[in-house]
Amino acid sequence: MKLGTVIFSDKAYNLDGMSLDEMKNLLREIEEDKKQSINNAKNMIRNVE
Amino acid sequence: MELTNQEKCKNLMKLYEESEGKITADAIVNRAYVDRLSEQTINEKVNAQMNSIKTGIYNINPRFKEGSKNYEATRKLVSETMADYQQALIDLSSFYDGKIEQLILRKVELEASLIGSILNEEYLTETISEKNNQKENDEVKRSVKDNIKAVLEKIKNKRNANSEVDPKMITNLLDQQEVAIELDEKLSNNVDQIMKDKNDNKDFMSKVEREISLISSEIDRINERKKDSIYDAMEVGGKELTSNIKRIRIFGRIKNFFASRFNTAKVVESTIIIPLNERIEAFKNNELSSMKG
Repeated sequence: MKLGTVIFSDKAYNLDGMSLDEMKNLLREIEEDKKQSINNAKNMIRNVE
Repeated sequence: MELTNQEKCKNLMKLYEESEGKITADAIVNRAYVDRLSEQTINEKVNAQMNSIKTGIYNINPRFKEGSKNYEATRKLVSETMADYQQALIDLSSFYDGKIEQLILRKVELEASLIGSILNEEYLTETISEKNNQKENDEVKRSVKDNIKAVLEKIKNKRNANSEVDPKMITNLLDQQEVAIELDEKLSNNVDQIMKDKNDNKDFMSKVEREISLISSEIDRINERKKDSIYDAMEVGGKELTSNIKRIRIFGRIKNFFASRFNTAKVVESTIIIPLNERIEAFKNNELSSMKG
């Protein structure tokens, strides 16, 4: 089954040519990046109580 | 350093635009990882079974190879059985992969709504600030306050002049005060409602983040369970195959002598292929069918 290509951080990743470990690392990288963006956004929003 | 409103909006807009790509990339890689894990685990299992069959055939007759009598028929039989074996494993992994797929879709949905809630949080914060300003500087409220002040001033002047205060003036003052109180309550209610919406939004965000984290752990857990299930599927704990082969080993040193005299293909079929087919059928009819419901 063809897995295709994914774009992340301005880079194209050919999933068909990646090993399981490489995929796992990419997945971790994306997760970390997402978490960081969310935390930055949350810190940006000022609190008005 | 405090960001200006414009910078904040720009950053939030950037987060919103980039998030779609990140959430999509995460879902695609996650799905690809699940497929690759299934494929790799099934291949390992199929290769191990294939090696076990080859060892079994070698133990029955080391000279049985290409060109031997009935070799082609045996090869066809092994290949059909192994295709069936592999398909049963694919069906098993599909059961787990389907569950993971649902979780990945739910995660995408939650992450999109988390981004929405963050933007909503900023909107509500701005709205509270606006409503507070409105409350302080409301024109109607100011005009009512000015009216009250004017009436009070008139009453004060009448008193100073020892003149009689018109009761209408008092009624007017009371009405104006009532309007002021109502207006103040209305404006406060507006702010309170938005504060409540903001708190609800915060609770929702925490709930969504908790659910996303639980889904991520659940995906890892199902992947592990899938791997274990594939490894355990159709195993006999080394009993059936070895006991059958042991029977042949009784011949010991004279095995090679006899090997050329008995029909290897038949022995392979009855001691390796048929038991394996029975295991495949039992697995399909029991474990697999109960999983699918």
